[in-house]
Amino acid sequence: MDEKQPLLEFRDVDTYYGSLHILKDVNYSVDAGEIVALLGSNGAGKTTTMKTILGLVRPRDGRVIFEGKEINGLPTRQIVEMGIAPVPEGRRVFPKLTVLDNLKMGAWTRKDRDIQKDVDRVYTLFPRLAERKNQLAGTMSGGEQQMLAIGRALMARPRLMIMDEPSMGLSPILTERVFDTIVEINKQGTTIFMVEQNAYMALEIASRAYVLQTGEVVLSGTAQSLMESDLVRRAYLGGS
Amino acid sequence: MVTPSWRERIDHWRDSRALRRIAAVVVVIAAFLYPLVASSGTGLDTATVAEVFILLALGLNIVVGFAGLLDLGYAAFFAIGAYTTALLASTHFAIGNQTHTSLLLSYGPNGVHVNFFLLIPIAALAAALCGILFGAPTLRLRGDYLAIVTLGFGEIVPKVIENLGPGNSVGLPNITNGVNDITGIDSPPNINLGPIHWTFQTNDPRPWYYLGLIIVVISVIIIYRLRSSRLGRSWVAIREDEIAAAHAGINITGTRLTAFALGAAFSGFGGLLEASRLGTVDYTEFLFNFSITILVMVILGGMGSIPGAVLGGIVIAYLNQSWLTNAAAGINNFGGWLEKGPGLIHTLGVWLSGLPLASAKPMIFGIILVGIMLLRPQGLLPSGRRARELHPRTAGELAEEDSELYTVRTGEI
Repeated sequence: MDEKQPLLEFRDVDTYYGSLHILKDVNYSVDAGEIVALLGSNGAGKTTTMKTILGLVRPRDGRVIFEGKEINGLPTRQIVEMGIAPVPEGRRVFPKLTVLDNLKMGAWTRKDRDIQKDVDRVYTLFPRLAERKNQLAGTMSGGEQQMLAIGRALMARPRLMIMDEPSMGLSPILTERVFDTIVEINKQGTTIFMVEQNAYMALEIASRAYVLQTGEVVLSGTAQSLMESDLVRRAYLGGS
Repeated sequence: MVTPSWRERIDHWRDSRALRRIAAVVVVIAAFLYPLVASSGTGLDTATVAEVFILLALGLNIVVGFAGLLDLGYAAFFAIGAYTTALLASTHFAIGNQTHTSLLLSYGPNGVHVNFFLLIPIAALAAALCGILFGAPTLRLRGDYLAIVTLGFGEIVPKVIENLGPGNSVGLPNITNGVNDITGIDSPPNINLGPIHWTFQTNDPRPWYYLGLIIVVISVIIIYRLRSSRLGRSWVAIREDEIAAAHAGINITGTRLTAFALGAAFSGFGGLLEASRLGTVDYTEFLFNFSITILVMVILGGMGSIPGAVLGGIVIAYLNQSWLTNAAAGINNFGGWLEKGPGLIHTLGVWLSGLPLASAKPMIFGIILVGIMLLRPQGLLPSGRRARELHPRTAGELAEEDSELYTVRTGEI
């Protein structure tokens, strides 16, 4: 096939929790270099999508493909090793480890031990983390913890970073700054697939987006076209 | 400038790495000099018991304190270490009619005798293997469920030892000597190194004390290195947040298994020391209540804290071996002193001096534990992590910092 292969692809994925059908025949594709947003209301299946990528939930049907390899059914650690780094919902930093140790945890899967360069890179992106490198992560503010969660994911040198609600619990101004950072990380070469409730912010930085409703993709396209779509305006942007 | 309160000074002292290092060196030197000032042999005996307890507390601290796995059957690994020693270095197994002797091993009608120094890795390895054996099927469980399973293993091991004696109903040969215990366990060979002449066969407790001390010091160094290693960090990460740890790519079950195995290995050292010092092993010493005693050492000292585990082991050993007896005698003597007083005080004195406190030692033990945990729930020497956790910065400060946060610097990396 001459067609360019997407970095991440969902092909007709069905996910269940017991008898609850969560993702229904879902298809996504994320190309290398993109920022792709996944929008949807509560219970639409956004977090389930993230869990499916990471192998925390196994799809009953369909295939999840990363760099041409099927990853559904693999244990989480192998998926992470292949180059997908998660920034989990609610940050989930290790509260009783120092900032530096948290970052080192991010590099866990790396075969090379030469991580100082990446630590420096994270510190350059987030000078605040450098100031706090010996502080316990749990004693930091929500914004600092979000920076740390992003920094920790970067330490794995991922090709794909998946982010679940990076704006969760942050003030509007902080949210804006987190998003600026996401753009910066993307410019430096990391593909980003993010779930976001804040549709306006997400569409501003994304190149493309999917809209999920009760487990089905009801809309997809470029961020610009979604921004103009009636459905999105009514449901997520508060427009009329 | 505001003068710092004594509490702040102590915190500062605790955070200072150089001072901590000096303190550690001072403690080690003091421990090496202790036999010179110890008045009697019994004091040193207690100290040697304390060393075994320290090893156990250090090992369990890896499992409970670092990895956060509640193990209620840890004494089983102690038993494995002790019985490994007993089987491989005593008159128990008689083989053939001829004695074969080599440097590290001899066997024959007088039993199997493996050299003590070879037994050090063997006992640790045996305990670690049992840790893997027990851990592999169970470490997918979490919290309470895991605790119950470990409780089960803690019961099984002594029962197996009890039932593998002579004429056992399973039809196996006599392996553990069952209820008869194994006696005649070897002492370490005599050591003559320059000015050091250690003879373990006499009543002199000093060689035992020094041997235990060396093993403890080496163990502490190893565990400090372990804690700050990649593996140590991953233990703490799993304890903190299993899902986030999995997201970082850690093999959860495998990493827990290493905690179980390494934790068990240190009790193997303890078992070796205990068995060869006493010259006999008795499976009834390794029952559930002893597992709990070890857990008490860890919690009393401060979970996850290495100095805490050391102190916890010392306190429990001395409480068991001498302080409780002294306390009971002290109360009785105090009653005797009061008897000289008038009226009501005299009556009280007579009552106090006649109290059968020797048999009430477990109660006094319990009261002391309750008291310590009420006054210092974080333990006597809490780990730095826990201590800092108790002094978080205020919410207001955090919000203030948030507002001037997130300077994104662009440019080449």
